[in-house]
Amino acid sequence: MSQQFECEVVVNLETGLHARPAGLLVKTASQFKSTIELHKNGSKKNAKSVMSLLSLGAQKGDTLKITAFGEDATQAGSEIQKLFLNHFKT
Amino acid sequence: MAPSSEQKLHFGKTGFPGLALGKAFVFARQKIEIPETKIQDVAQEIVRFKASIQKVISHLHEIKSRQTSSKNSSSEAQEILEAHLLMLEDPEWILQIEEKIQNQKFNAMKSVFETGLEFKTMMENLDDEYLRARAQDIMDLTYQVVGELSGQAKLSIEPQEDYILVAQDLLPSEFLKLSRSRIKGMILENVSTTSHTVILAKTFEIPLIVAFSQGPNAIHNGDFLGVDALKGQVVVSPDEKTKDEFHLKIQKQKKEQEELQKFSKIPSISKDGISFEVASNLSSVMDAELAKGKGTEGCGLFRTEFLLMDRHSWPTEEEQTKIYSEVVKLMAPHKTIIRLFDVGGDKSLPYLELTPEENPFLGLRGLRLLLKFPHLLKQQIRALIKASAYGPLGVMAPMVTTPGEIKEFRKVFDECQAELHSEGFLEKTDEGRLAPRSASKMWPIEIGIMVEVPSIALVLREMSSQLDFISVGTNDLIQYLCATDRMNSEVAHLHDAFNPGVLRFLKLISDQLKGTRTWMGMCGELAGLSGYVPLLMALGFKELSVSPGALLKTRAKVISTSVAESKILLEQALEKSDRDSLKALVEQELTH
Repeated sequence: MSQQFECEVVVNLETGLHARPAGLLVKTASQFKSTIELHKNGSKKNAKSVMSLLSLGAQKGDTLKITAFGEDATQAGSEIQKLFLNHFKT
Repeated sequence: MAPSSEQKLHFGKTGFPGLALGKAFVFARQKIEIPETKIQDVAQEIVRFKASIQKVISHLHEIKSRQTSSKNSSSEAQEILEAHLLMLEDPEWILQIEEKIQNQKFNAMKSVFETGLEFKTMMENLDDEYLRARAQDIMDLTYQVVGELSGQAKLSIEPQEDYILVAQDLLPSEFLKLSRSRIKGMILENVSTTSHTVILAKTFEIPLIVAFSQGPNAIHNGDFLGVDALKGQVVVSPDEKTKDEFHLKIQKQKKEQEELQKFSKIPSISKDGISFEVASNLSSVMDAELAKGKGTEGCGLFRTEFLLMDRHSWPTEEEQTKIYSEVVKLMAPHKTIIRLFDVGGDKSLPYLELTPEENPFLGLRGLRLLLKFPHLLKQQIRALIKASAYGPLGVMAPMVTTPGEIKEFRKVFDECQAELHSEGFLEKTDEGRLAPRSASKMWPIEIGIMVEVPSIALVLREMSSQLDFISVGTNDLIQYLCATDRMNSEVAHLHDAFNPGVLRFLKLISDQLKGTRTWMGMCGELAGLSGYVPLLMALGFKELSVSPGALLKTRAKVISTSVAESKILLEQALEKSDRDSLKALVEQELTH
């Protein structure tokens, strides 16, 4: 059954969404089957693509919307949300 | 072409300080022609494209495992390789390439190349210096995949002995494929200081010269080179005497570096108990991290003009605030002195229309230029005031010529403070000062100027009420005092710290500020000349700011020097009227 997920997060990384956090995000997103996207000011980017994420240019303090759509969307969305809440510390 | 035999001197800029001697390996990327041919069989072309990506991926894995097993490994190198692997498997990137093959019937090479350019342009237009530098990584991967598809070898043949790498530019992957233990020095023409390649060279502490634009025929493959990355000089075909000098210096440096390490954690207090600050001259956040690791006592010169390079527009207030804040944070509790943009007609900035000048070093530059474009000056000062929330900060104006300019500069500063007060960023403290509302502690911003134009040096006493500090920029001061362009090899020898006129001029500056509230610092190369350090201490310079590579040497000298004894040496030195006897006196001090 198809699920939908949507929530907002604030980027709380000193240097913005740079290579290391972006890499972690992609690795996390790629474990799921759902389509996962990050939205900023109306532009949306594939969360499984590191180049797309970098081109979002998300900086500290920016608000991003996470959306997920697919069979594991709820879990996928909350895992990504968790990354932001934990400041990408693993 | 046969290596030339006559000794020649060329100039660039220090990327990472150090010395090296060896044969040049001129790295030339093979030019790959991108074919325009359309394809018939889409499925087959996609298979070909996927196979090429797999080959590059397995190649990167190979380098990665070699890295892990090698003792020269670094976490930076690992991280860069990780990032590259992730980019190669990027679904959006692959999708866009496949779409070009499928819909436009482009061949795989053209599809990969065009997509690479698209992503590169996208990155270059972002409002973030770090991400703009990532454009280079994208082109790096693009070249690797295109090279794989073309079936051509990409690397020139690497020598089997130690060498000095010479290249126009160098991609991180190209650097990592070379055997690092053989690279004794590097000379790069066009690279940004934030490029991964420069970061890697710094990590592995390879002496590096950048901005080396002497034309394609300055160095040939196999030329013997002496690289002095401290001075930013390259000697092509050094004679036996110069070679011996290099050998000696390199050996000495190696031993010194080992011995100096212990000074990284010791404060700079002279033998007779007087405190000094040995700080660093920096151009980027990366430099600041490096200097912090070496135990710098703050930053005596942050060159903001590096923010202006390699970009399409003037940096915004937010962008500037972010970078200044990062540096101030890294240096706290020590002070960061940030110099306002020091640019002029010699650097062409596409987004600032300047009329070409006959004589850019005597023209519209530094504070002169900023006062002509007050909105740029204001924007920078506002960003600096905002950054002062994170630690002690000094703001320094370059190329100041008259007292009137200092007054104008202070006026703009006061206006910016008033603006930020009414915007609510600053608030009045109990002492009646303005301080950032968000700051955990109160650090009043200090205002100062660079002393490099002789005319301002002669009226410092009168200006001291307006100035918290001055910093002597010796490179430019000597240039203006001796009327000598040190980039001109015909007269470079006249740009001489041992010209007795230079020392006497420093004395004159020091005399004027004696008993005033204004403290003196130095941010030129002179502060890195061990023999000169006791003279500077005796003259009353409280802060000596040098490149991070020279930091520990200068600190070691400060710690082993007595100010009282140096005052006697200074008196003797001031009596010398020819350069050779002054140099002999100073170097005699060195052998002690």
